[in-house]
Amino acid sequence: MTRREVVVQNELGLHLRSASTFVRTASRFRSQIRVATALVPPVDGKSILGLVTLGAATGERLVITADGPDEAEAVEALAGLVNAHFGE
Amino acid sequence: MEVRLRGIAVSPGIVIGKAYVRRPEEVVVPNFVVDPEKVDQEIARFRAGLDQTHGEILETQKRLAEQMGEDHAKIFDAHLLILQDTKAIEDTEQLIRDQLMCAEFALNRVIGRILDSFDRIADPYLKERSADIQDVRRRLLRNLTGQEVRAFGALNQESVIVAHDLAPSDTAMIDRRFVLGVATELGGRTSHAAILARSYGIAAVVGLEGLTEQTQHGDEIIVDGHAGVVVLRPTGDTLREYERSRQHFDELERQLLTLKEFPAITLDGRKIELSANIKSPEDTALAIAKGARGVGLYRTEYFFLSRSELPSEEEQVEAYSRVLRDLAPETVIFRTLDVGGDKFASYLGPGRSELNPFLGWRGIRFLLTRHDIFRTQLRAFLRASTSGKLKIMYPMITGLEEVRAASALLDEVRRGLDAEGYAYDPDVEVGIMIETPSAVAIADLLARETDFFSIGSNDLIQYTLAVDRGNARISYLYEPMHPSVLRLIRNTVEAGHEAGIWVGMCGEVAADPLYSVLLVGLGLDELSISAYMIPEVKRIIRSITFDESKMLVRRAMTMSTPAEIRRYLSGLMHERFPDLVSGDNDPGEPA
Repeated sequence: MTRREVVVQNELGLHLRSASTFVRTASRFRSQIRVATALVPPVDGKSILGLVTLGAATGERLVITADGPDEAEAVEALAGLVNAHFGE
Repeated sequence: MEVRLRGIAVSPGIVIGKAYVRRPEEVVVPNFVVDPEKVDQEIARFRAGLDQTHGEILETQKRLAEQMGEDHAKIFDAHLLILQDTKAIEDTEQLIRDQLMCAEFALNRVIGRILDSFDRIADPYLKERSADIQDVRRRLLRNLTGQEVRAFGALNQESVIVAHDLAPSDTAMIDRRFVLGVATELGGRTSHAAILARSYGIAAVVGLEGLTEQTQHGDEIIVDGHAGVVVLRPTGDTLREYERSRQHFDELERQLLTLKEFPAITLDGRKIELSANIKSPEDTALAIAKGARGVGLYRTEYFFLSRSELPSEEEQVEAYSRVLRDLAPETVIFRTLDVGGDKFASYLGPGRSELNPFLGWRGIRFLLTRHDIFRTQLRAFLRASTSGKLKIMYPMITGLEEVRAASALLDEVRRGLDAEGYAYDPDVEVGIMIETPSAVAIADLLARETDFFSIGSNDLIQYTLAVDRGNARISYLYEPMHPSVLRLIRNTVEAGHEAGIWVGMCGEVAADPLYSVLLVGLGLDELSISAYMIPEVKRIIRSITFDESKMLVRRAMTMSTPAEIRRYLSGLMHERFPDLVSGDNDPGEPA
């Protein structure tokens, strides 16, 4: 299992559009992906409905974990996406 | 019984018609037990509903992209993903299989749980996203139950649209031939309802509390887009009264439009360039229809704010050329990207986190630290300049160094284009906005190194009187007739004319009929205002003499308070133009 902590930096936080980008990226990988915040237990990283219920505003910490054959690449790609403000 | 509601006027006009009420729809959710033998059939029905909804959202997205641009349509990408959410689909199918719930009930249970978890979200923006999930749920339930789409598909006769709010999917559904006016409970000047109404040129009032509760389908309704008033089920007297003002307004509008081809020139021959403010290529049609002499302020930032990434140089060249071609041979003044203050885009630097955004990283200050963005825009301006008559204007100037730094960059851009072999207009005029007291104080120095001034009245008033318009406690201090503001305008005009350059004003107050007389008398050469107001202001300019307006200014300049000046002016105007000023602000009340 690979685990990485990142900070949400884009202005509006993990809203519907940024969550869409996240889900589209996560879905490229075969590993199971989970995302959690300090307050909310892990949700499925390939589920937009799960991600938006995290309510992760800018400045909040996200814990991304992946479990499966391509877990390292998946975590790398998703952490990069968050750090790049979801390309917004 | 007649009911009067007061809201915010966002699009002018008076309309009397029948209400077409769109309530926040709640679809009835059926609850039946599935025959254990027919579980697979029920799941197939659920999946068919997903497919149908998927097709419907794609359709809406396409239509909206055509009508309002790709960017407005982007949110539906997320709607499609919601529909494909594996977790939610699995959970729903499990409830159907294990608990024999019908598809609608199971789905509603699953989405309901997700919506419940939004309660703990503190961030108001993120919390509001639950509206999108509800939107998808409604569509899906509607398709599963086969309940009729009541939204706007059934709008087939001329009506006034009454709704809690209009969502992007609504505006895509509305058949514009049938919309007479718009009234909503939510929303401000930039809401979808307001944008829709202004682009259709129909009356609209938003921010009407309790509107949908009190309106029935087919009720008679009056929308007064001047006063921001809506009257439900008007009495005979009210109807007659509004019928009169509507006719009066229409008649005035007709008369004013007959002036379209005439210049804005005073009786004694002083010519004023009366031009329009625009924010996108789509606005040029209205400007031309209302008889604008070109564009005095093209707010290019809206091109940047309406999207999620920087527009490329090519995209900018295309948009800018279109505006220039539409308006040729008239001039278009392009204001460079003016972000910060109250205008943000998440991908551009200035954020809402600044303590004093209006005193912060905005306008020219932003551009001079983001040469990449500034240079690209200047290149696009120059490359577009062969399509018509282009002028460039820098916002938020406080000192000469800013002008020089911008001009140096412009020179560099010119050299680059020369080297690459691009053609451009070598005589593009470059001017600045005068919107800080500092710029007024050194207007003589600035005038030597610029081709024109355009006074940005909104900011100049805000900075001079140190008043935040948005702060209700003190917004009464925002007073365009304040002697200090009038003196700053006079000083700017004098400094400009002394140096032989022209001086204009772009801003809301220039469109106030009362104020426009003062501006003519103060010697402004150009007024750039909302296209809607051009006919009215033109009529006033054509009915006065430059001499009398100068006299009026001299007199006003001897007065010590805004109230005194306003009383004096509105007294005169009531005499001269009883039809125009009637029903306007009470004299003495801040505009």
